[in-house]
Amino acid sequence: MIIEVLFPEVCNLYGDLGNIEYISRSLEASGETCEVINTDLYTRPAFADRDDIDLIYMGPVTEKGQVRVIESLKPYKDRLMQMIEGGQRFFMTGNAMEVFGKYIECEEGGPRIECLGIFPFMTKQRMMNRTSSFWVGQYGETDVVGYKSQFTHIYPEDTGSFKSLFKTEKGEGINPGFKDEGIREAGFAGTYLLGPLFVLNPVLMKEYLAEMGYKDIKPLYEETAVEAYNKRLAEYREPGRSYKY
Amino acid sequence: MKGLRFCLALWLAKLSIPALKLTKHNATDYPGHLAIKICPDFLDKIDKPELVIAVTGTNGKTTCTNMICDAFEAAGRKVLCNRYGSNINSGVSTCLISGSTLTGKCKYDTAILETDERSAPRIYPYLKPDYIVVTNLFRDSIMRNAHPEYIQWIINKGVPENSKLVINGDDLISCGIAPGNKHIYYGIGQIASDTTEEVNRLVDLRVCPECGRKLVFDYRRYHHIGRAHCPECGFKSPDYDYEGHDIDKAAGTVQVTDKEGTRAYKIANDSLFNIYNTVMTVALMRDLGFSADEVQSLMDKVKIPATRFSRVAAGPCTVTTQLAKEMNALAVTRATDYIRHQEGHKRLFLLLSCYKVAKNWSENMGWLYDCDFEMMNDPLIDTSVVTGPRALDFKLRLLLAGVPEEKILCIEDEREAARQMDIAPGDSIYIYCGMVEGFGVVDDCRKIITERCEALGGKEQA
Repeated sequence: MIIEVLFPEVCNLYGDLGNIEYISRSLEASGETCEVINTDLYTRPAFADRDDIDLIYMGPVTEKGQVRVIESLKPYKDRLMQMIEGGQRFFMTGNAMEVFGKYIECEEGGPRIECLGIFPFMTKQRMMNRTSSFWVGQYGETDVVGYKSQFTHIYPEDTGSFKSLFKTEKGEGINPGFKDEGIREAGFAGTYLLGPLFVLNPVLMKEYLAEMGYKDIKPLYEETAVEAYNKRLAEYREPGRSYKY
Repeated sequence: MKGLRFCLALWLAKLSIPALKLTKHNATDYPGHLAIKICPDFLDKIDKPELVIAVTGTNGKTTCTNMICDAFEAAGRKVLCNRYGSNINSGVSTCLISGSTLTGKCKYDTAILETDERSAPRIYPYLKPDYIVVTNLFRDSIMRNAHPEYIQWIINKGVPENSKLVINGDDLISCGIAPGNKHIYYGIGQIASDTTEEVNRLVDLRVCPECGRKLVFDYRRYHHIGRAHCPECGFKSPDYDYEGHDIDKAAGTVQVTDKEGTRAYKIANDSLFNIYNTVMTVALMRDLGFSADEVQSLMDKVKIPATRFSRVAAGPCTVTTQLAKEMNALAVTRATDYIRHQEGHKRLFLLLSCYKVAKNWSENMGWLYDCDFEMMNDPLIDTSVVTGPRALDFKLRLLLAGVPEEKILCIEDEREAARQMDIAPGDSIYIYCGMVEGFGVVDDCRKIITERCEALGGKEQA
C-alpha cells in the first residue's frame, strides 16, 4: 500500500498521525508492504504526478496552518476533483475536511477564508466556543467510537443530498442541527472524529482496509485493541452517561 | 470610591472563608466566585500590592510560582501567593480577598499569582501585572487548550501594554506573545545532549510563524525547545538577556550570564525543566533590581513543591512521586525522559486516567499518541504498571511503543495494582500522578507500595 500524508508538519494535532502509524504497522505485521510518503506544504504532492497512491491522509491542523494548507492545495484543485471523481481514497480527520468545502466563516459575520470549493458545504469557526464530546455510532453495521473537540462545524448547502460517513447513535453530528457525522463522497471520507480513530476502532480499520482490497489484515495487538474498544463502547452506551464535556 | 456593591462583595466573600474552612472546604475559589457574582468588576476594583507578578504557561506554572514566592519571602517581602494553583479569575480574586483588610486595603507588598493561560483575558486587564512570566507553551488538554497557537492568541487578548514579559527564549511559541510589549528573554545555551534531529513525537512548531516555511533548528533540546531560524525570511530565536549554561549536577548549580557578568546559582532540582525554572527565577529577580549576590543567596531557599516531586526511602527501595499531568503528552514525556536517565532499575506506576472526568465523561486519549511512551521501552525499566478506567488504552500504547508485554502489568483497580506489582530490594519506584483530584488514589497507592517496600526489610536506600 502507498499512503500519502499531506503536510504532517502542520496537520499533526491530537495524536491523529497515530492513524497512519497503526495502519502501516498492522499492514506490515500482516505481511503487506506499506510506503508512507510525507508531503510538506511547499513540496509538490506525490498525488499530482502519480496514480498509484492508495490512500491520501490529512489530519487536524491549527487555524493558521489550515490557511496554509488551502494555499498549498489550490494549485491542485482540478487534479483533486479528478481524483475524487475517479474514486481515489482520501481520509481526513478533525478539521482537515473543511479545506475541501466552499469557505470558512471566521466568527459571526467575520471574514471568510475561501477554500477549495470542491464540496458544497461551508464551515463556521467560533474560536471562543470549543465543543468537546465523545461519540458512538455506526459505519455500515460496524460500531464506531470516537472523540470530538473542535472550534468549527460544517454546514452543507443541501442537507438532503449530503452523504454522511457515519450514522450517529449518541453524540453530535457534523453540526448541532445535523445528526450524522462526517462526509463520504465516492472514495473521499472525512470526519471530525478523533482518537486516533483507527486505533480506537480496530474493527473499523479492518473493514476499511478490506474495502481497499487488503483483506484479513490483523490489527496490531488486536486482542488488547479490541478489548479497549469493547470497553469504551459499553461505557459510552451506559444510560444516563452524558456525552458533552 | 469603590462603591457599595464592591464592599458588599468583599465582606460576603471574606465571611465565606471561615465558613468554608469550618465545613472543611479549602476556600481557594468560592469566595472570589461569589465576589465576582455580586460585583462583576471586582477584580478591577480590589486593591493590589505595589508589585504584581503573574505566572502562566502550559507546564510548570505552580512550580515557578512557588519558586518565585520562596525567593521573595527569603528577601523579606510580604508576599501574597496562590501557591496551590487556584488560578482562574475567581481563584486570583480569592487570593486578593484573603490579602485585603475589611476596607479593601491590601496587606501585602508583592503578589505572585499563578494564572490559567485560558483565563488571561478575564484576569490581566484588571490585575495589570507588572510582570508576566511565561514558562512555555505546548499542547495540553485537547478539550480545553486545543493547541498552543490558540493559547498564544488567548493570552494576547489580555496582556496590558505596560506589562513586561519574562519569556523562555528557547520557546518560539512563547516568544510570539504580546510582541509589542517589553520582553526579557531567558534560556539555557547549547548543552551536550542537544541535537538537530527531531527526537520527540510532539513538536508544536515545525514551520516559521512568519512565512510558514520549515524552520531549521540550530540545536534542539526537546520538542520545539531550542534555537531555530527560518532560511526563507530571516525569522530567528531571540538573543538571551539571561543565559543559563555550565550546569553542574554534582554541585547542584547552573551558571547564569547577564549583562553584568556570570554567577553560579543553586538549582532546586536537576531536571532540565526545573533548571529552566531556576534561570527564569534568577532572570526575574535580577531584572527587578536584586543584585547577583542577593539572588545567589535567595536561590538557596528556593524549593520544588512536594506535590510536584517527592522521594522517600522505603526499606531497601525508593518511592518517588512525580507529577505528570494526564492529558498532557509533554508532561509525561519529560517526566519519563528524566526518570529513564536516572541510575539503576526502575518500576513505573501510572496513575494517569483523568479521574476528574472519568465518572461521567471520557477525556480524549489522543494525547497518548503525542507522548513518547517509546521511552518506557528501556532496559532499565523493569515494569510499567497501567491502571484506572483507561488502563487498556495505556497498555495498547505501551505495546505499540515496543514495551514487551511481560513488562506491562494492566490492572484497572489502582490499589489492587499497587498490591500486585512486583517489588524487589533495590527498586526505584516512580508513581506518575496526574490531577490534584486524583490525589486520594495517589496517597493510597503510595502508602500500599511504601509499606510493601518497607516489609522487604533491609537497609534503606540513600
